[in-house]
Amino acid sequence: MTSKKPGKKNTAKNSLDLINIRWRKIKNKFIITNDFGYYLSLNQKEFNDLIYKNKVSEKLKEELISKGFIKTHMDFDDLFSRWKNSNSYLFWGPSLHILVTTLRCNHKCVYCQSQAVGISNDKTDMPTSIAKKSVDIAFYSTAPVLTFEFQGGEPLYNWETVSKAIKYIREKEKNSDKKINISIVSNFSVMDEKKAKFLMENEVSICTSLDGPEKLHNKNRIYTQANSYRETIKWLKYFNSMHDNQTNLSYRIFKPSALTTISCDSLKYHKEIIDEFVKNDLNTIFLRPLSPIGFAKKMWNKIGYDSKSFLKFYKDSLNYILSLNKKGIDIKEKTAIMLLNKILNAKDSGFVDLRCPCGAGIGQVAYNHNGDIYTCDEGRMVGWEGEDIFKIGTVKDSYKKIINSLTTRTCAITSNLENQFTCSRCAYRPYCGVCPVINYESQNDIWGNNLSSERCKIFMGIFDIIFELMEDPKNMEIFNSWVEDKKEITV
Amino acid sequence: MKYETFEDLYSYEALNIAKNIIKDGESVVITKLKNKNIINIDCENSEKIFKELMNEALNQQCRIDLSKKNFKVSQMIITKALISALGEEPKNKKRGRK
Amino acid sequence: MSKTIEFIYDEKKYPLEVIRYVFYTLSDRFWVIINKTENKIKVSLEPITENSSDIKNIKKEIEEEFRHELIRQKIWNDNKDLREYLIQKAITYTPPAPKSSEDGLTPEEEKELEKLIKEVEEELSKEMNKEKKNDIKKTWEEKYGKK
Repeated sequence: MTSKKPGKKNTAKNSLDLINIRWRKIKNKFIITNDFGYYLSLNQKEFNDLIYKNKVSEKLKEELISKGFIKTHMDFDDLFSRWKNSNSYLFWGPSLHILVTTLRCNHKCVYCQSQAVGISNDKTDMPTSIAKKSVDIAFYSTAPVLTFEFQGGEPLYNWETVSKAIKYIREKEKNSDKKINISIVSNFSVMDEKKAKFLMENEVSICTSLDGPEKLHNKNRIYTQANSYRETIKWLKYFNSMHDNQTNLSYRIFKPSALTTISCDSLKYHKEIIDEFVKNDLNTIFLRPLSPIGFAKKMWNKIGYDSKSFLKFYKDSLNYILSLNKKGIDIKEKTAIMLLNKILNAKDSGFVDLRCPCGAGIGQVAYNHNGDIYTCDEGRMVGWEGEDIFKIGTVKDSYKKIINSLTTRTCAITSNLENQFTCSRCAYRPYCGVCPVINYESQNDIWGNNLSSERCKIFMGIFDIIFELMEDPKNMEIFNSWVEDKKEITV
Repeated sequence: MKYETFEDLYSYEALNIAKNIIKDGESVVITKLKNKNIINIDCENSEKIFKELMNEALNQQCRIDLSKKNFKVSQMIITKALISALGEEPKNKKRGRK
Repeated sequence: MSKTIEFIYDEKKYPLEVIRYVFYTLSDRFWVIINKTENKIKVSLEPITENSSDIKNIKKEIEEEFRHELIRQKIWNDNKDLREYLIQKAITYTPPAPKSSEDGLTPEEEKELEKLIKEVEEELSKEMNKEKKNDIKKTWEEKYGKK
């Protein structure tokens, strides 16, 4: 951000040697960025002077120098460490390991991507032996932190495998120098106190889905045997209470979290959805757009929407969240946190979709119930439709064979933004990423064409919204509080 | 429908990839000559298919050009990512649980 | 009936790469065909839908995109080797070891410690102000007079 003293003469001196600058116009401002993730916001005149006349005021020149936009006077220590921090995922292997322990589920969510089957179909339960082999493979990863995420279907339907796998992970952890996180994504419909106690004692983070107020949630997440919303709220309250009242325990109970999936019905209810989170003591909401994968792809004409509609919803939501923050209410938006961490702190957000190259196979791995291994959960969903294009091996293969697979390497190459035509020029290049799976599913091309990519439009729009909001100092104060530096591993 | 284009405008590689991406691309035949490519489309909607093919070929050509330009940086990043991910034997360190 | 507009460029002034990128940016709204004519590059644009952008605005848009892309190409070409060098150095960079104090604390830990000390001092001074009000600090003699 720059300010000019009124009446001060332009004291531009020598012409500038610009290096790797990218720019984007947002309304009447230009955002410029560079490879190191630094950014500046310029007005039209400043931008024209910089790009066309190559001469700017001394004050702007100093800012450009301090942020590595100019060849001379580069602070290499600062720039290199910044680049390395924001690309820290390049220095280790997959940290996220998703175990799909069953495809059985008692919900029929309108946007389900996981190809859930009926609850009697136990042929899709992952045997304990496969779960243990999956864990063994994961421990070969060079990542210093491993996160095991149990998913489904509804993972609690295969409690035997889930519980044994969790015990196995904690046993292996004792002989490892890795930090281990475990989480489970559940609709809570078959949760009971015994399972809850086990999960808490083993420090498993609990995550569920909450799509908004009761009517909206139940419309999206159809559960014929009971009321999905009430089951979700009941157990959220339970886990929140256990978290808030934990004392003198030999284990930590984590605060539960919830994911929101935005269907076309959700788009009219941004306030109600956010209020629902605040009401239930959930202080982070993740406003994720639907991806046209799996069942959602087939139902797209009923549940889908275009990028414009989602971006309007997102902008209204973020503005509302900021207004609540200004009233002292603690609620944050997760996509914004992840992007702001990259923009303000040059910190890798851990979001495997938003990195270069994407995390397919090298940042995350998905282990299917039958032992097939995929680049990611989205790749697994494409496999369920009959196309195993994103399969990278099985639990019988060695870790090295899986990482070295042609598919893993192909996904890395095709998601490298240095090879992506529009991305390499985009101002948001230091903070963004592409998804070969979504490219393949929506455009029949693993490389994709960003010009017509709804995903690209959505993320560009989100960045535009965030950079626009950052112009307001009050918003910046709130954003900074969301991304205060926490202890992290730096390379 | 038949159309002739120059190899330096739309490479054979770009045209072939484009043909495999567009709808009804199977009706497209591309023949490589010395420094030209001949595009033959033999079906009802040939004009529309041709336009889609050329737009997609432009996309692919831009990408191919960029890949050559950015080859070194691209290779550095990919190589680092893949080598880092290759993994090692887990160390048997006894460590109490936090 | 669709309107096709043609543009002709001298490749010496506008490199093919630049022409390709500029017209690629329109390929979601226009059918683009690039051809050669009399040693020049010819680009045909035809709107994809009947309601595509006004042709006058497109000419402006194309001009601005050419201006931007030519500058981008120049910066890119001028800095290609340097950029490769910088990325390579960044990948292999090892930060210098942080200077630690005699206590063996890192700069971050020192900052944290200073912050804590400041907080404790503030708490203490608040307490001391309370005590002054409650007169605790006065001696017996000061409060009640000498025996």
